[in-house]
Amino acid sequence: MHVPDGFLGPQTYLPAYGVAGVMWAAGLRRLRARLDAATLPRLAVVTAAAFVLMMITVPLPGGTTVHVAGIGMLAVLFGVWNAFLSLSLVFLLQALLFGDGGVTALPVNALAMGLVGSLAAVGAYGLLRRWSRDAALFAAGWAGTVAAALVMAGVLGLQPLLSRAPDGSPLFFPFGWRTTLPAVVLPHLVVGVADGALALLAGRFLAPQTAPPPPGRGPEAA
Amino acid sequence: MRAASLLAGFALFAAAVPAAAHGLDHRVTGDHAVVVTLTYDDGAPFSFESCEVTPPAEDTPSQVGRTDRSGRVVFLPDRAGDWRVRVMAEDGHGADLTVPVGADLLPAASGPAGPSRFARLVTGVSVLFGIFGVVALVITRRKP
Repeated sequence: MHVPDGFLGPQTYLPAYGVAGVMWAAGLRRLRARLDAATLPRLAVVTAAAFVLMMITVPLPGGTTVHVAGIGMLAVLFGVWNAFLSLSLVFLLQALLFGDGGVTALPVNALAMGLVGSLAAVGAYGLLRRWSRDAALFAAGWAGTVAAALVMAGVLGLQPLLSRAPDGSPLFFPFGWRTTLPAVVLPHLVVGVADGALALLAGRFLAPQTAPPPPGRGPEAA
Repeated sequence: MRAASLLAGFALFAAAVPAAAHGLDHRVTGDHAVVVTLTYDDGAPFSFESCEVTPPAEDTPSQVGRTDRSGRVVFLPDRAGDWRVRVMAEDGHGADLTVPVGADLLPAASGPAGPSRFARLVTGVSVLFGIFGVVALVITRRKP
């Protein structure tokens, strides 16, 4: 789901850098004010786990590959803002070390997966946790991945409308929504199951150390 | 008789002109091509996906098409410089590459292989823990 360089036009990534910059600054202010030294090691370990898990790709029929992202796991355990900052850091390292995801596309990747994905995960958890905590954890993992995929498909499919050469050919990503929505979202409906299982496992086994947050906030971010 | 011969000659000429206009000659040659091979992380070929090849200092691709079964983009450069090779899958996978081509119209030799994927993975995890360690130090100093 990481968008590489050259796929998004400046009409997309420049405003995205502006929005993401504001969000990163707001997140860092919250981190400085509310995060304690006892939470940091746990956040570091789960962030590192997400970084490693994202590197493990699984081939799907049709030739593409997918991987879990750990969005729901981070969001449920540590809250939206901490998940957003941690995932942004992961995407930066992946871009610099592996070329997975571009530097120009970094804010879009961070906003789609780190922010929207985390919001969807925490929202799903908040909706379902009174009914069943396990179902809520699973739904958080699934929703975080699928919401991120929806945003990413939307941004990619927007490119042919935003940037065209004088002859009408797309300058950047050439496929519209009719192509990107099924191509990006459908595989992630399946990947979301793995991300749901991951969030469920993380929520169950890490819960004694990091209690599930109230909707919209992690325990340490609250 | 003479008129009939002229008429036959004209008919032959008229028939040959459109045939020449639609004719398609071909020749087969061997040449040195630039071959860019693309694979997923697991080694699976990036096959049958959209690709574009753009010459140095130009915006319009000189070649568009799809990667072959083995995930290869093959092109014959006609000038030295940095050629742009862009490959895109419908699901957002792809790459935007620069391929330097020398005066001999061959791709510049690839440099030595970089660190392995595992080494980069370990580096990434180390950098992550380092960053969180620095943040912990700052917080510990601020909140004794």
